[in-house]
Amino acid sequence: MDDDREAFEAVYRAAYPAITAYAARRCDSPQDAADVVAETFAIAWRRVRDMPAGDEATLWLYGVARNVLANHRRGEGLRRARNVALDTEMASLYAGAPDGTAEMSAIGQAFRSLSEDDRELLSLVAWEGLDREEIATALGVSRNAVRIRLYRARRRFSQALAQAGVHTTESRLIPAGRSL
Amino acid sequence: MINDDRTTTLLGPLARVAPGARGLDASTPGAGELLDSIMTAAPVPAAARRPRYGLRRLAVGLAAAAVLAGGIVVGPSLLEDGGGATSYASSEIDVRREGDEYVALIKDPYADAGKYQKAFEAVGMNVELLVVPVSPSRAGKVVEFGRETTGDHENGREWTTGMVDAQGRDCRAGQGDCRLLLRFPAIEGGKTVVKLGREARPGETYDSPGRAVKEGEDLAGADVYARKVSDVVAQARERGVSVEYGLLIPHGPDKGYHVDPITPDRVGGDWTVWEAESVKDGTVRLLVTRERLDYNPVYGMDLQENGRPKP
Repeated sequence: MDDDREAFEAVYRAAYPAITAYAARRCDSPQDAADVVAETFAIAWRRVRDMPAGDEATLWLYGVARNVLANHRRGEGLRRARNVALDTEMASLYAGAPDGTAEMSAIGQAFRSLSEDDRELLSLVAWEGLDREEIATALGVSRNAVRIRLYRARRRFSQALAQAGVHTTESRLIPAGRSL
Repeated sequence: MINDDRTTTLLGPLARVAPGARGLDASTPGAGELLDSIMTAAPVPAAARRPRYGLRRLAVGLAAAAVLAGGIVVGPSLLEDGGGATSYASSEIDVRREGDEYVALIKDPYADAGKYQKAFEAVGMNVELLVVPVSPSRAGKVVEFGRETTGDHENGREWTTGMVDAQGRDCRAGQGDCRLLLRFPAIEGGKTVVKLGREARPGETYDSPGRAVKEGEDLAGADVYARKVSDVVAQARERGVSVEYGLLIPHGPDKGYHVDPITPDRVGGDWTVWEAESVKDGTVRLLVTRERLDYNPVYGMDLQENGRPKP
């Protein structure tokens, strides 16, 4: 039991920055992000004996967080008792965040038009900076499956960008109808 | 088509917390409060009092069922245990509820799939389990998995499989009384299709080919990638393994491939091998091209080095 506590606390300390960032990048409000973080670690504690050691623990937590987040989006998330300190700290991540212009940009719209699965894969690459092997570990699927899904997600994102009139070139990005 | 770098460039600015940036620090009051609430509210989670974490622990929980099945053929029966959970036992499969999960022990991997389905139905789960012959390195593993669901509660829960002996210890296919085990969350609604690999009978063709150079396979440790056909055939002969061929039609780097049938007499010894697949015990299929390519079409570009899959 003490070993469990020790192992969990070590992982908690190491992974907390990554998981709070993960939640803040995906939740519209600090309260939602706090809920996702809290529920993710609560599940992790319950499943501490399933938890892999070392760096893999963070990847595993991403996988747990992803499921928690999906449930939240379906309105099935567990509302926890408010942790006021956490809410406040989480809100600090929302201050100075990309404003409405980025959110409403053609790129943002193209991105939001994708399925949740596609968005999550692309986000894990672009935001969490994971490689294919790490994504495979986080999602519990094979590297080959990640490769194929990612390929398809990038293709659909390219198509959505093209439809939104965003031309992607190797050197720069030119939103259609806007002079540089 | 955009690549990963472009994806990052395009999506990076949309991130509330910039890519690579850390979120909150674990030394903050909020983090401390959360940790306390998690660990004091559930210091010994109810779920942890029963075996459920990891295959080994789970296996111990199953030992009783396994031993029972060894001596007595239990007719299909529904059993209520103390916790009010429902179990099912037949000579083909046992399904036991363990907290918020079910554990299925497959006692007869050659049974009709309908027998399994009946067991899952009896405990209220819609699971279509197909147990298919696979190469040794894939026995006990999920070959295919699909889940259709509308609004489920699969919070961090997953399906796991493995193999256990009558004492509930981990074991490997071919080691005496080694049985397949499937553990899955007890979630109502939805339908799941699982193809689980079992050890093939002698001469039985594998349901889906495995990599022949993996440990336990016919060409374990052999050097096959980007090698000449004559070379690989010689290695196969040394091991007494028969060779079949598939003609690889590459679609370009990272674009996949397809395989056309080809008879051995049409394959030249100087052609190139890009993959060796286990087809059945003692037989491998070499995926070949006439020309030597500067990459391996079977693998993604990021997963190979000099035509070989990265370890």
